[in-house]
Order: sequence, then C-alpha cells, then structure tokens
Amino acid sequence: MPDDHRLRIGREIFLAAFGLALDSVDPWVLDRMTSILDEQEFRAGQTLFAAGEPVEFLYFMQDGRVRFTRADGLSWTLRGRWVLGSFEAIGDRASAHTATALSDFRGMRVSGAAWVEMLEDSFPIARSAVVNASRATTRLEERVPTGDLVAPDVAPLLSTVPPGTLSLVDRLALLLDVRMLRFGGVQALADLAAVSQQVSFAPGESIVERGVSQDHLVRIVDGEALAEREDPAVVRRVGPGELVCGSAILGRVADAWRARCVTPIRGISFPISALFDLMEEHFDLVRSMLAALSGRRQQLLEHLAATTPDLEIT
Amino acid sequence: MPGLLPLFADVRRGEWRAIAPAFATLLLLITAHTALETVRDALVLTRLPARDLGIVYVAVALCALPAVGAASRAAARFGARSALGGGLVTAAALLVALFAAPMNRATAVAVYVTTGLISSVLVPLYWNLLASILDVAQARRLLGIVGSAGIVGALLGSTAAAAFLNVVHTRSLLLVLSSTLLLTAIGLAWIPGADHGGPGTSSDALPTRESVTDVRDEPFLRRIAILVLVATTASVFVDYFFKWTVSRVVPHHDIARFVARYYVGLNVLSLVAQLFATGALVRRMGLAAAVVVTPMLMLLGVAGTFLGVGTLTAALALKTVDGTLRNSVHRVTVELLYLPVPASVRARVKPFIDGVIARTTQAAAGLVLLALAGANWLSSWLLAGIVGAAILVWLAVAATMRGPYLEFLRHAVTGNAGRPPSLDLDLESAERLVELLAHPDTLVVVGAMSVLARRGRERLIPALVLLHEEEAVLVRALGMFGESSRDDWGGRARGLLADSREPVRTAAARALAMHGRLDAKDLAFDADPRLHAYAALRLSLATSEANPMEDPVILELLARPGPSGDHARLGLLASIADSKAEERLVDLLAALASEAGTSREWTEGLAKAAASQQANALIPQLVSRLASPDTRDAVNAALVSLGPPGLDEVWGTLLDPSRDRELRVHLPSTIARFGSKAAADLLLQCIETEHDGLVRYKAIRGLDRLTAEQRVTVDRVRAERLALANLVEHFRLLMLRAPFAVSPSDDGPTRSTTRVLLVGLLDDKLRQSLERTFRLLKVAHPRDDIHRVHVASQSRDSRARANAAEFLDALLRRRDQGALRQLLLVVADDLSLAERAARGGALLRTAAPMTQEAAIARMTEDGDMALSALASLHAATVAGRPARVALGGGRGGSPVELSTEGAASEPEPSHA
Repeated sequence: MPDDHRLRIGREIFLAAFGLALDSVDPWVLDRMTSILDEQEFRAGQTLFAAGEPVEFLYFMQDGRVRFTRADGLSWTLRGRWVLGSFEAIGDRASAHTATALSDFRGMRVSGAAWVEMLEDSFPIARSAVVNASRATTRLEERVPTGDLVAPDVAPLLSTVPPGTLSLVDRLALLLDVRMLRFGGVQALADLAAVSQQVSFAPGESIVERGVSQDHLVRIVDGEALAEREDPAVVRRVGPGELVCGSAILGRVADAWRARCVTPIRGISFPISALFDLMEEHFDLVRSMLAALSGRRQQLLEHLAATTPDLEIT
Repeated sequence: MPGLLPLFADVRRGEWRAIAPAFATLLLLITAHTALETVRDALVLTRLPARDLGIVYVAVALCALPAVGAASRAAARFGARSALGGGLVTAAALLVALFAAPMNRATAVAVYVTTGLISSVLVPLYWNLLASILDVAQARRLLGIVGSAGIVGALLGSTAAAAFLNVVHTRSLLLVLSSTLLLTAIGLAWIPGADHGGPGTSSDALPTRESVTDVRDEPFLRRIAILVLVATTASVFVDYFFKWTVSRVVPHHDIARFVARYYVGLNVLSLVAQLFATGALVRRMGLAAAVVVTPMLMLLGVAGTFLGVGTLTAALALKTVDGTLRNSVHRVTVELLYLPVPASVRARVKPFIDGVIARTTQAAAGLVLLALAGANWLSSWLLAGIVGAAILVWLAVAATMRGPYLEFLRHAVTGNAGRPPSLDLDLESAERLVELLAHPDTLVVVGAMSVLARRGRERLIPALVLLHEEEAVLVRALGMFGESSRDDWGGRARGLLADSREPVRTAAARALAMHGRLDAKDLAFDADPRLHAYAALRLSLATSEANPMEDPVILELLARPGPSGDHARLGLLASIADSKAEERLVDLLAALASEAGTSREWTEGLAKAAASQQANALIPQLVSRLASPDTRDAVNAALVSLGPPGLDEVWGTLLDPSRDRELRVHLPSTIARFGSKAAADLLLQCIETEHDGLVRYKAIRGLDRLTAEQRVTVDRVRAERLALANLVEHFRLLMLRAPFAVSPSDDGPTRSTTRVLLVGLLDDKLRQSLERTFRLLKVAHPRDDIHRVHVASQSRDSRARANAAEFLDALLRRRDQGALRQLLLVVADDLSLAERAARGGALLRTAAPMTQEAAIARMTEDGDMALSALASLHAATVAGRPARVALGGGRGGSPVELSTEGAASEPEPSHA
C-alpha cells in the first residue's frame, strides 16, 4: 500500500483527535485538509517561527509544550493540544513572538496560504474557525478578572459622531470602526448597515442577560456598559467602538455573561445571522474577524504573562 | 522613431535601460558573425570540393562540444556576462591567429569552425544572459525588438562583407571582425541585471546526469530537445543543399561575391520578417502555434524545390525561406519556449540542448552527407528528398508542441496539486485503526470509527465497542450499526435500551428499529416521552395493518399539549424517519408537518421523514426552511433524495421574486447539491438572468462546486460568455476607479468619509467582479486550477504574473475566446491602475473618465444602486449641499434612505 494512503489515514485520525467530526464535513473538505497537512517531528529547542518574521505555517500540536517569547523577555508556554500560528498566518502579519518547542512532540503543519484558501472555499469551516476563535478568546478573557486592556489605536472614520439619529452613512462608518469588521470591505458593511438598527438603553438596563440566547450584536456608539460573569468572576468595561460581549456571543459561550448599562447608551444593533450570511459572501469579513480576534488574544496572553510568572496554559 | 516603436514593441518605462545595450551587443555580435559567415563560405567553397563539404559540419560539432562544456562551466562559475565576455575575447584572438596563419584547406575549415563556435557558444550565452534579465511577459514584448538587432546585424555584416570584399582580400576581414568582437566584449558592461546561475552554482553542459535527467524526465524539455534536433537536421540539409548547388552552378571566381550579395538580400528579408511578422505572429497565434510557421513555410519551399530540382533558383528559394525565418520567427519562438523554465534548470538544460544536442545532430548529419557523397549517391533529387523528409518530421514535432507547453505552464502556475489518494485500506492500517478503538481519547475512538466507515469497513468495528462507557462512542457506533447489514450487535444494543442516558437509549432504539428488531414493548414504559412515542408508533405499525391515525394512542400523542406533547411528536417523527416508505404513514406525517415547530430538531426530523417516505407533499415546507443555517444541510439532503420534484420546487421558488431574499440566496447552493446536468443548466440560467447580485454569486459558487466535485460538464461557450461579461464589468469599474488613484486634498471629515466609502466600495466591486470572472472561467475549464492562475495573475511577483498570463494566452486560443483572452492578459500584466484602465478601455472601445468629477458624474447614473447612491452623496458633500438618496439591499430587499444629515425618514431608534 502506498505510503500516501497510510499518511492520509494518520492525518484523518489526527484531525479527529483535534475535535473535527469527520462525518460532519464534506468529503472534499476532508480530502483537501488531509492533502495540505504535513507531518512534523519537533525537537526540544526547535524554533517554529521567529519574532519579526512572517508566519508561513500553522502548526497543530497534539501533546507538547511551546514557549512564546517576546524581545523584552515577556513569555508564556502553551501545553497540550493547540493550533499555533493560525492567527498570524491568517492575519498575514509578522509574529510578535518567537515560538520555541520545549519538548519533543509530533504534530502537523499546513501552509497559511493553503489554510486560508480552504477557509475561503468552505464556508462551514470558516464559520467554525470564527466561532472557535471567538470561544478561545473568551476563555482567555475569563482568565483576566478585571482591568482595561487598552486596544491598539484605530483611527476612527468619523472624527465626531453626530448626535441624535444616525444616518445610514454614519452607521456604515461606525461599523467600519469596529476592529473585527474594519477590513471586511465597504460592500459587506454597507449591507450590514442596511439591516442594522439604532438602539438606546437607559442606565441599569441589560443589554445581555445571563442564560438568554443572543441573536444580535450591539456596537456602542456613546456610553458605557459593564459586562460581568461569575465563576470565574470577570468584569469588563465596554465603551464606544466595542461590541458588547462580542467574542462570547459569537463563540456561543455568552450564557454566563451579563452586560448592564452604566450610563445612557446609544448603539447600533445587527443580527448575527446577517453577519454570518455576509461572511459567506465576503471572505474579507472572515479574515477581518479572525485577525481582530488574534490581536485580542495576543493582548490577553501578554497581559497574563506580565502578571503571572512562568505562565503555562493548557 | 520612438513614435513608431509602439507599432512593433510595447516598451515600458525603465526597460530601455536594459534593452538598448542588449540591442547594441547583439547587433555587434551578429554583424561580426554574419560577416564571418560570408568569409567562411567564400573560403570553404573555393578550397573544398563539394563532396567534402560535410567535413565542416563534423569539424564544427567536434569542436563545439568541448567548447560548449567549457562555456557552460564558466557561466555557472562566473556568470553568463563574464563567460560571454571571455568567449568574445577568445574568438577575437582566434581570428587574429587565423589571419596570421597561411591560408589553406585546414585554415578554411578552422575559419568555418570558429564561425560555428561563435554561433553555438557565444550566441546561446548571449540569450541566456538576456533571459536572466527579462521575465516571460517582458520577453514576449521585447524579444522581437531585441531579436531584430540580430537581423540588422546580419544585414550590416553581410553588406559590409560584400563591400569589403570588393576592395580587400578575404583574409583581411578577419582582423576587422576580430576588433568588432572586442568592441562587443566592452559593450557588455552596459547590460544590467541578474545573472542567474552565478558564482557558486555548479552545472555542466556536457551530458551530466542532471541535465540529461532534466531533459529525460520533463516532457516539455524533451519536446524542446527533439524540436531543436529535427530543426537542426533540416537546417544542415538545407544549408548543404544550398552550398552543393552553388558550388556546382556558380563559376568558381564568382562564388565569394555571389554569396556576399545573396546574404545581403537574405538578411534584408530576415529584418522585414523580424520587424513585421515575428511579434504579430506570436501575439495573434500564440507561441505554440507560431512554432509551426517556419517548418510549414519551409515545406512549401520544398514543394517548390521539387518543381525545379537541380536549378540554382530552387535551391536559393528554399535557402531563402530557411534563412528568412530561421533567424527571425524560429529563433524568437524557440527562445520564448524556454522562458517559463526555471532559471536554474534553464542554465543547465539550454547549453545542453543548444550545444550538445544541436552539435551532435550537426555532426551526425554531416557524417551522413559525407557517406552519401563518398558513395557517389548524391543528386539533386536525393538531396531534395532528404530535405523534404527532415522538414516533414520538423513540422510534426512543432505541430504537437502545444500540449506539452500548456501542461508545463499549468504546472509552473499551479504547482504540484495532485489528486488526493483513494480511500483504500491495507491490513496494517486496518489493524492500527482497530487498535485505536481502544484509545483512551474518545475523539480518537470516534475518529477511528469514522475513518473505517469512510472506507466501507464498518465490519471491522467489533460489536464489543457497545461496551464502551462514553456516550459519544455508543451513539456513533449504534448509528453505524443501524445503517449496516450486520446483525451481531443486536444483543448488546438491546441492553442499551435501559441505559440511563437518553441519547444512548434513542440511538439504540433507532438502530434496532432500522433492522426491524425493536420490540416496542421494551420502550413502552420509557419515561422519556420521545422514546415512548417512538415505540408507540413501532408497536402500532407492527400489530395492525390499519392507519396509525386510527390508533387512539397515536392520536393522543398528536394532541398532547405542552413540552411533553412536543417531545412526543418529535418521537413520532423520528419513528417515521426510521421506517420504510409506507402509504399508511402519509396522513400521520402530514398531520405532524402541519403543526411542526421551527426548531432544529423539528426541521431535521421533517427532512429525514420526508426523505424516508419520499413525501413530495412536504417539499414546499422544506424549501421554506432553507433560510435556517443550522438545518440547511439536512434539508438539502432530503430535497436531493426527493429528486426532480425537489429540484423543480427549488427552481420555482428561486424564480419567484416575491419570496424572501434571505431564502432565495441559499437556493443556488441547494440546486448545486443535486449534482446533475439539469442542475448545472439551471444554475447557468440563473447566472444569465438573475437580477440579485448575491443570488448570482451564489449560483456561480454552486456551479463551480458542482463542476469540480461531480464532474458535470457545462457549455463552455456560455460559461465563457458570462466570464467575459463579468470581466467587462470589471474594466468598467476600473475606469471609474482610476481617477481616484491619486490622493485628493482632504477638506473635511465628511468629504473624506464619503470618499473613503466610495473608493472602498469600488475596490470591493473590482475584487468581486474579477473573482467571478475567474470562477466562471474555472467552470468552463474544470480541468485546470484556474483559482491558482487567478492568484498568480494578481501576485506581486512579476514572474508569477507573467507565467499566469502566458498560461491564459496558451489556453484561450479559439477564435471565440479572443476578447476574453485579450482582456485577461491586461489583467495579468504588470501595469499601474491607470494604465490597465486605459488599455482595457481601448480594447472595449470605451472612453474612460479622466477626472474624478467625470467619474462621479458617471457613477451617479450607474445601474448599481449602492454605487450611484454613494456617488451622489459624495458629490453632494463635496459641493457642500444636503442630499438624500435611496440605497437598496435592506432586509427583504426594500430600499433604505441615505442622507448627508440625520434624516427624518430614518426609523425611530428602538429599545432592544
């Protein structure tokens, strides 16, 4: 039997072990995935990717330990089952960290370009990627109890937001200012703006209720909300330009969260189903969201690493 | 003169710096070479008898082989430029030595050999140097003009030789030509650019393992080698035929002048061919077809030869065709064939083919001629016949170049994407998978079962897996056993009917039911209403032939209120889904459907039940549920299983503009799932007639997937027509976008905002229109990885773009593909946005707006509502006046108003 048949079987098992339900994906998707994967043996001390260099490959680590180190010494370790480099590869950005294996392990790698191409061709996989990335980011958020992690500066399209009722152009510009949507394209966001509504909340009013399924996302225009959860206890201030519990709602793990208005809030609300429909047509929206989630994830990891020496996350 | 140049060559800014010195170098080199040819022919024809002329070919071949090897090693070590410079100096020194030596038969042959070495060593080195500084696209545009330097040089050389021979002795020319070669060596310093295969790379033009392997293993290189072989053979025979005839017909004392004048005339014709024919032939016919031109015309020349065999006219005519085309059309087309070959391979292979193979062929042909002459068999008829046969073979090889060339380009652009391996399973792998069924990780166990199932090897999963503790494993295994024909698992499955976990009990019940082995009494007292109802229907069907709607138990379950009733009805639905198609279940299914909820379970249950009962009556209801993403797959599967009635309903719904847009946008994907030719035709029709852009896009994606996965063929002409329509739209948008390429001054935030939005929208539409073009092209050419061609055509790497352009040019050679091809070549070309828009506009005969104001004015009248609305808004904000415009695309398709100020027509803000 040719080696490539055995390799393929091994790769299918590997993907199953990573949580991919093999019978739920189209056969051609599985064919493509197994053809773009490459087995890799990693040795302790081996560099997977270096800071400042573009990340060409994604790495699937089954059971190993990899340390991420920044030039200023900030570092953390990931242990167990992780996908490494995906956010950098998809976001087409240079890595801010050097990733070094701390132990020998076997894994797979796939070229970033091939992975992105597969996401573009299979919307169910792209959708899963967004949902899983949102969920992973939310789980990291839950490790940071409080504190305002300052977001990278994004020059707003509207230097001053007009008072009162927002026009469609205003809503379009305001949606473009959301980090997750910024690079989704004007066409896509024009369609999203067309189905969005301006909403307002009084102080104390709930935007997100615990245990209640959310089918809309709210972008704060003015005002401030407090998002919190228990066990673990986490508190977040959500202000202008941000989505209220955005990653938790997209990752379908918002049940434990609650968001209340601290001040009067003016916002823009849009259906999540419309967002996913638009993602299917405009792949740039998928990339934009994954890149933004990557940035947030990086921020959280760096914050955790700064506050927890020898941070190791499983 | 510069104004005339665009007629002959498309020279871009910055390229003059490279091609001007390249032109001058080739001019000098060929001037010297052609003059030397005149000298050598004059010397050889006057000192060697006709029967011994074959010696010169053998001598050239014997000397060229080691010389090519040395040159190749020098090129690999020092670079093509240095090797060429060294060669030129060496050749100059040789000519000086030959001048000094007494002129006899041996010296005449030595002059012939030196001339041969220049053409077999120095000229290929020059072309190698040129290929290292030009990519494929530049070469297509510029090789013609650079190559004309060769023709001009040939003309100058032959004219100068003819003129000199009137006043000086033939030998004296050797000194003049030596100086010319030295001057050429000095001129090399002005040629810029990369020398591939520079110091550090080792290669050898003698038959090394690598170069031989390259030629042997790569079909395209093998074909080039054969082409060079047959072309060289024909050339030697034609040349011999010419010289043989001249030496027999022209008086001895007139030969030198005759040859000199003849070559002048020949080179004039070559120059004309180079300037007016070469580029046009390549552009119009494509490279693969242009390669055929030379042998085809030579065949006509041979036919003429047979009419006047033995006469000087016939021989001159044939030589004229050969001489005119060989140094123009033939030379350029063969050089272009090499260009898609990676530089490192080309550096190895070209000297081997042009040097070793060509010279060996010459030597062999020379030996054949010597043998024929020695046996006194040579005659005009025989020579004409040999020439004709050689040209016929050449024509056959050239005519079959297209396939390997296209395949090579395909590989160069798309890489090694092969088909995935089949789903075979060997014993070792099967053993490994069975071992994994005992893995501690549940995901691995389930994965191993899935891998075996995908390969049709469920029987390798032991029934003992039903002793596993994990719910996921049990549910998956029961599902697989239920769908199989094996019966060894029933006992253990029956035990699971009492499992504490409802999903496990359900899975066990369903699996047993599918095999007709569920004793419904086992579940009759199950606390779960779903399982209880499931069992009740099984019992009703088993104990009576009557319609279950007459069974009071079933009726009670149908009527039961509250969540318990809902669960019970889902249980009835699942029971119907697991039953064979029966007439008596129709009424019950209809009753359940009429009260069906909209949850995921209801939709999936309805879909499965409709599929199992082939209930066409449920089709409209299923179609209406396609808007929900979570259940779309299940509904699609059910509709596909219902066959043509399902397809008809989906198509009818798509044609109904009153249906919700949220639903219609998903229907093309459903149509594609039918996987049939009929579905493909419907999708094509949708793309041709649908007004909603998103629905059209989904139809394109669906058709793309259908042709790729189901291998359904689609009318190529229709698909390409649609691709062309999208490409025309792309250029229309490009012409609107081009004036905005320069950043304007920003007078205020609002103007900046609307401009950013407008330009952003144009950029999005440009990307989309091009993406749609390439997707439709892929539908028309499903065998090719057009997606990669698309990516390469937009790459920042100019060589990747050039290869993509070359591939598209070679692929789209039919007459009806002309417009598509020309526009795609502009897309792939390395041009600025404005230049691309201008070229596209010229091809489409459309005047592009030259200013932003003109572009905005055009956009405000555009048929695209979003574009015209944003353009109107931008124009208004630039002018500082309020505006209110309508923008479509709202939920349900109704227009929404845009304005430059908060508008009273906007809906009041709501409280969530």
